[in-house]
Amino acid sequence: MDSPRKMRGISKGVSFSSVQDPRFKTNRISVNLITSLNKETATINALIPQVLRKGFRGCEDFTELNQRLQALYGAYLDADVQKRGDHQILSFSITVISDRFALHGEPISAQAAEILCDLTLHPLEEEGGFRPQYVELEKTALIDTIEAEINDKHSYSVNSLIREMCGGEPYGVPRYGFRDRVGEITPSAALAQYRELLRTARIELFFVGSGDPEPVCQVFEEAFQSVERDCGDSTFSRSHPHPLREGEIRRKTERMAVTQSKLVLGFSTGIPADAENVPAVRMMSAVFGGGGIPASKLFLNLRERLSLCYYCSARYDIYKGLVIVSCGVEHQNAKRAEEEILVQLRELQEGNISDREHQSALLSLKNAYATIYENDASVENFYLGQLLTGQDLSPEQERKKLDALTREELVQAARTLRYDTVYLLTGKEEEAHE
Amino acid sequence: MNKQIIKSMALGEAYEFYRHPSGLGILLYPMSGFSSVYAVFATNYGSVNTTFKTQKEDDYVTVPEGIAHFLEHKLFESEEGDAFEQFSKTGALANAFTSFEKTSYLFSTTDHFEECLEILVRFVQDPYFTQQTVEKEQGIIGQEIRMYDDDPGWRVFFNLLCALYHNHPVRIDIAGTTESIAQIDADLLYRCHRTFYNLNNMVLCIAGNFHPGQAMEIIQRNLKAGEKLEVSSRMPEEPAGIVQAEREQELEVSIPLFNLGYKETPAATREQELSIQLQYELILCAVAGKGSALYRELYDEGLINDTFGKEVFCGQGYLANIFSGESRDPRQVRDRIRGAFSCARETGIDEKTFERIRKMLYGAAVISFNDVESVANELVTAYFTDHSIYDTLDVIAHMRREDVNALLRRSFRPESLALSIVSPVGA
Repeated sequence: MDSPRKMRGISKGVSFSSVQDPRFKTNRISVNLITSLNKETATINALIPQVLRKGFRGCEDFTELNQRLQALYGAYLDADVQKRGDHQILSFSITVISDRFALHGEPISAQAAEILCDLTLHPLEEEGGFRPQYVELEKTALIDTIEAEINDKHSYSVNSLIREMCGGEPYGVPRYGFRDRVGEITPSAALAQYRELLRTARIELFFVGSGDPEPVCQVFEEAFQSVERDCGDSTFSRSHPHPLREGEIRRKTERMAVTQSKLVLGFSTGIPADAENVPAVRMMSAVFGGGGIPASKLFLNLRERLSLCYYCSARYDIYKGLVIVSCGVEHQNAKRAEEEILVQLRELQEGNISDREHQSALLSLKNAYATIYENDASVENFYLGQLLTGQDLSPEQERKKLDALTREELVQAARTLRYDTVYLLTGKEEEAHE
Repeated sequence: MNKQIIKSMALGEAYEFYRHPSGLGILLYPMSGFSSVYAVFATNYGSVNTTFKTQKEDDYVTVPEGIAHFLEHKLFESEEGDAFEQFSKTGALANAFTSFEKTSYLFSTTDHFEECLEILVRFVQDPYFTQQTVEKEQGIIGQEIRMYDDDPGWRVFFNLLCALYHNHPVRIDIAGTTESIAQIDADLLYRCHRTFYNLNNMVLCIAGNFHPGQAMEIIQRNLKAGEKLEVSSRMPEEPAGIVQAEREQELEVSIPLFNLGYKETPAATREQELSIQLQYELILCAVAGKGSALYRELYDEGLINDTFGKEVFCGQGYLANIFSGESRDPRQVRDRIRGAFSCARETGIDEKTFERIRKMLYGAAVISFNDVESVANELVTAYFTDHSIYDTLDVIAHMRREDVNALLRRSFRPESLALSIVSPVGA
């Protein structure tokens, strides 16, 4: 299957991509506004999707909107921000069952497209701003979201490492912004910021489903005619890899009342997302500690051989050229786990990669590419990734690149890894891990 | 071998159901257009089955808590090597999970179906435990338990179950405790395997891109049919009332998390379970869903946020309607929910709301057929609860408002309500 995605521009810097496939029983439509992540706008941008989710002109009431979605066979409407590399993305999506399953022949997708279009392009306005009541409510909810990061100790620890490691870069800015910047947001500032995004952000629309994308495309094409745009392809800049740093490894330890320590190691490669050796880094990272790969070095050694951890895995961030290793471990074993992770990396760098490790990483990644089309959200996720890294490949083309990789290329890729920062979340009474 | 074709007019799809002489159920659901195949080999055995016997034994035996989950971890090992290792040579994604009532072993692959199916069928039937491998696993699972000890969402849920249930083993953590798993040894694991992994107590479900004939050939070639065993699990007597109305724990969280549950009368038979579960789902959506007055009131007053959720939690001998979320004032949320349900019991659900939520449930049921993973897992659940996977659509189509309102009237009693809170340390 070579790129079944069809894409066309519908306005300046606005494109509509579609994948039509009869196997799906649903249609999913999404609108993504891509903007650069920065300290000044991250918080207000994070608030906007939640305010828009409350209603729009023609459906002003939150409860009425939710009842409309329920009556549309439980249409699932999502509004949130994503963080990918140096970008923050305001994403709105709606998923509905295909028209063929409508009990009374209703045009479900057309209605869903209209809701999504109204929600993103016809917001409720009062006295030159968003509706103040919704803004105030969502400000409180945003504070909850920002603070609740700590509830999940695993993701909190990974985010803490990123803040420590990439503090001076856009990537160091948290996905939902900063708690102390929520208070200053006013309804008029939020509306002004949204108008600015509608004018300047790169906008990617997706349709994935069994239905006909054409009418959906037309709904948005017409609606965007009245949106003044000032965004060309040339104004879009890609993420920059985290710069390679000389000197001491940065260490940060945080203490809380936790029963298990979380250890996170950050490595940088300095490799940009469109470089030739990206597939090699991807596969090397899978050999090192790919999630769900039981033949990975970290799984085999940290878990199976030493029983130190229940999970220990490596994740490659293509946008920033980072490899992040994380695990949960007994407080007193944190140092040993760190040493062992570094031993396993050294093994890779010295070329100790067995055929089995090589093959299982290769097959596992190929399997993952081959299943992208099995799910509507993963199709969209894949192509959004392609757009952000300035590429236009299909999963099949990505898959082929892996086949050609030699062991030597994996070893070279492993040698690009520079140990940069380590973060440890540990219990209160324990000795410091230094 | 007994074969049936089960069809759905609404979806225009069908699957094959075989009953193997060993008692094993085999459900094959080919899905055209998909490139992957997802297979699950499952046993009707979960964390709640701690006291059991077969027809050949006189006395019930009670095993340490967490043993079903421990067994799941250990089953991947055999004398010839690790099943994970064998799967990794194919690139398939392989995994397993233990829930309250079942243990499932699965793989997902695009290119190596035959090989993977053979590995799956064989390793699940082939236990190999030694004292040394058991001890190694105690370390790994110990870390898994510790991970959950720090997980406020997990803690708040189990604390609620402990507040609702006096004796039912659903109140016990699926992984057990560091102390309980220390009592596990190879002999106990063999005994549990012999009892619950006899094919009469199991099901094999496959969905996606494959040929049923070929699958049957591989399955039959690799099944080791032993003696047919009927397993009975004993559940302790569970009083109707709750244990305590409130339970609180401090953890490192930002704002309090809550789980609020009404303990209800479980379905009398497995057949009734699906219908009762769907009726409760309708009630929860009608009274506390995003389109309800209650949701609006709680949200507008800043008492709940987007994390608010609700679920019908049910199985053999337990049924609870649970609300969860974050709130600065969980007790206030409880009072409002209690008030709204007391009121709804009086007024019932009106026709318009009933029809709207019914359409929503129908949509969700259709969506569950959208991918191979969800279909395969639904097949397992349907089999163990004596249903066809399409019954959900039928039950929704034939649901009657008067039945739902009758259920509403006899449930959601204020005295059956318990609240579990995880609050910030030192707050």
